[in-house]
Amino acid sequence: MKVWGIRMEHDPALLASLRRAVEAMPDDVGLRLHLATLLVEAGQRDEAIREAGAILQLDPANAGALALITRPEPARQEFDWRAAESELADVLPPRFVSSDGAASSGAEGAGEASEAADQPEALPFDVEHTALRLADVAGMKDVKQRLEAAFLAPMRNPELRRLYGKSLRGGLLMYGPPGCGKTFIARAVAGELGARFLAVSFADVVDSMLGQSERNIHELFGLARRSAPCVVFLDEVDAIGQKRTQLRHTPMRAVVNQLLLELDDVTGGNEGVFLLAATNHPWDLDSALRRPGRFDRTLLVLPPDQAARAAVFRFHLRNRPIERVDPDRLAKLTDGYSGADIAHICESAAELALLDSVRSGEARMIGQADLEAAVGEVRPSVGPWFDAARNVALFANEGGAYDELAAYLKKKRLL
Amino acid sequence: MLGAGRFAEALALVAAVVAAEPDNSRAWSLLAQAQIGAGQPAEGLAAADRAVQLDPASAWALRLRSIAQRRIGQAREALDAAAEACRLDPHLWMNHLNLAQAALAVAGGPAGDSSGLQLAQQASSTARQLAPNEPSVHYVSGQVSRALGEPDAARAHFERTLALDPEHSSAVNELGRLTLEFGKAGDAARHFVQAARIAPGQSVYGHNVEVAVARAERSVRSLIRWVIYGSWLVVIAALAVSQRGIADRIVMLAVLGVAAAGVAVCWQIQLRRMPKEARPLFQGRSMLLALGVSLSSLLAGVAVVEFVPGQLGNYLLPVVIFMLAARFAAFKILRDGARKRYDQINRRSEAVKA
Repeated sequence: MKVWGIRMEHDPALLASLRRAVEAMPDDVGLRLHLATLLVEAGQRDEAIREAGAILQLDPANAGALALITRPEPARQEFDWRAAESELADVLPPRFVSSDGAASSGAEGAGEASEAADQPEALPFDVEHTALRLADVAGMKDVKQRLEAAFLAPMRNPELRRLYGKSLRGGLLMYGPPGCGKTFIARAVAGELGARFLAVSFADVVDSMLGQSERNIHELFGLARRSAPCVVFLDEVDAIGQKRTQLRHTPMRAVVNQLLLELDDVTGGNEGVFLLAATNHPWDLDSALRRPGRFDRTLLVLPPDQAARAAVFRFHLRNRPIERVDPDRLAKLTDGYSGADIAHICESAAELALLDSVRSGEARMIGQADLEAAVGEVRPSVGPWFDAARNVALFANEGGAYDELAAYLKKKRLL
Repeated sequence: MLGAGRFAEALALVAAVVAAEPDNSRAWSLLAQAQIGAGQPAEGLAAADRAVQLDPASAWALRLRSIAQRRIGQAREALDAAAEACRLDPHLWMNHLNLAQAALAVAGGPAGDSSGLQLAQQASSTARQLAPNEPSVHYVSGQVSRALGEPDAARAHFERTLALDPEHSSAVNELGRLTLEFGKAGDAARHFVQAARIAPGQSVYGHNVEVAVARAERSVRSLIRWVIYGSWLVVIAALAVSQRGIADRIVMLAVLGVAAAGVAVCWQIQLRRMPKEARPLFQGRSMLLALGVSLSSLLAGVAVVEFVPGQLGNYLLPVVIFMLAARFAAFKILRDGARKRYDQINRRSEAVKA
């Protein structure tokens, strides 16, 4: 039996009585495993995992519990709003309206299209193919142009590169306030280059065992070389490549040294391995990482422009019940908001509509008014970043490394 | 992760360790350390309390308890915990350093306990003996000396900190604060700029640069006030005794010219004392406006008296009233400009008031 796309084969009363029985006999592994299995089948995976965890505490080798935990999560069958809309097109108002009054229902241009690639080998890092292209990144024309000039054009034109004697050495460091799409752009770059995408964060690399972090970095770059063409994307690179002067008494100094070593190896002779990194705090990065041949090109990724904001609204509202929402008007109201702020606005608007529905006892769609009210409630989160950025532009812009940032701050009258 | 300062990430991992080993005092101490570092001192205190409960002889757990208590404003309790940690492990410099910080917090609290300062001095001295090459020990010693009203000793400690760790931005900042206390805004700004260059992510250093610049602006503003007073009095006096001779006019114009030149020279001196990175922050628009209003009103007054025919006594009262009004307007512009400037600086950060 299916109700609104959610499987309801299991009687809630049965589950409730099983829960009571488990409470009465908490050490009965068999009973708990039965409950966990039924919970998984009923789609209550989180609770099932908790039960499996409790079983493993009692019996660490319990194969049934281990199987439950490692079982992949089934694809969630969500309600198909688009199909329902088309069925009810004559009675339902349109989802999106444009400022000029035209109606549409899609969430075009904002989807993230990535697919898992075949894993070349079992390693802790995920290598994936991405179908994303820069054209999928809405707006941000300046960023795309600078990316094309600084990174993509030399990569894509090996003959011209040879003609002009342009080397492939060095990587690109993207920096900017949090939640503004640096990771998204990195995926798009990998897509543009037709390369595999290897995203690495601090937690993927750092290990509590002494020496293991360095080994992880070595393995990561080894995997990238074997998976060439491959874009290695170091997210929050300031965590892995923090200034060594700030790491006086920690083993992280060795991690930074290993990273420098691997970067030199990659840029020295490995064709097809492209280095991208992102950070919110480029000023915390060890200066050795910024030297020529390493991350010597920088790209400032600022809060999304109006076109990008409209697309981000469309993306975050694509699976929500909405009516007569004007993303262009919302984009105009949200100058200076990051993509993450816009996601928060959509979430808050959904919450407003939900609470209203609960109060009135009648479900209603999320409307433009809910979103505008949420815009009034959510403040841009990038303020503290720009405070620090102002300091950098004023006092630490040695060699003009942050000229682009200084120009933006001047334009916005923040300097 | 804790060593690298990634407290938020460490928190999740350490929480898992605590869940796996709920009776392990070290696990709870790690959790306390992560929580304190992540800016959750109340949670850190609860974790440290649990660690102490599990192992009352753990100096580390007690030290963490003390740090958490200090962060949430329980200075007295923090001092007790720090003293107990020192008693349990008197050979570890970190315990003495923490004791000095706790005693400093007690001395700097509302009760202002002076015995706390002596204890802080004693503890920091012991920490220096145990770890003479540890920059943080000298840094805290500098803070203690500063609280004791010994600026030279404080300066020496901060300079020693920088000799051991040239990138110790807090020590550079403290040197700037000491210099600012002596009224040397330009030199102070140089220190703050250096601190901001070392750690640009710390917005407090940028704020302090602005405070130093605002102090320099204040001295120019003060000079402008005196110039307005002085030139006003000279011109009124000259008008009152005027014989309408060419010499009077020259004297009056010369007074106004000297006043304007004096302000310009002082302005330039203040700007030259500032490091070049701080100069763009110097805001003189309201000062220029006030000076302009004042001097142009004086010129207008002189022109009326000199060029409108008739007896001087007929115009003296309205001219004086006009010039008085202009003087009040100029002072209001100066005051409002200063207020706006300080509001602007303080709004950016509450760390150090302008």
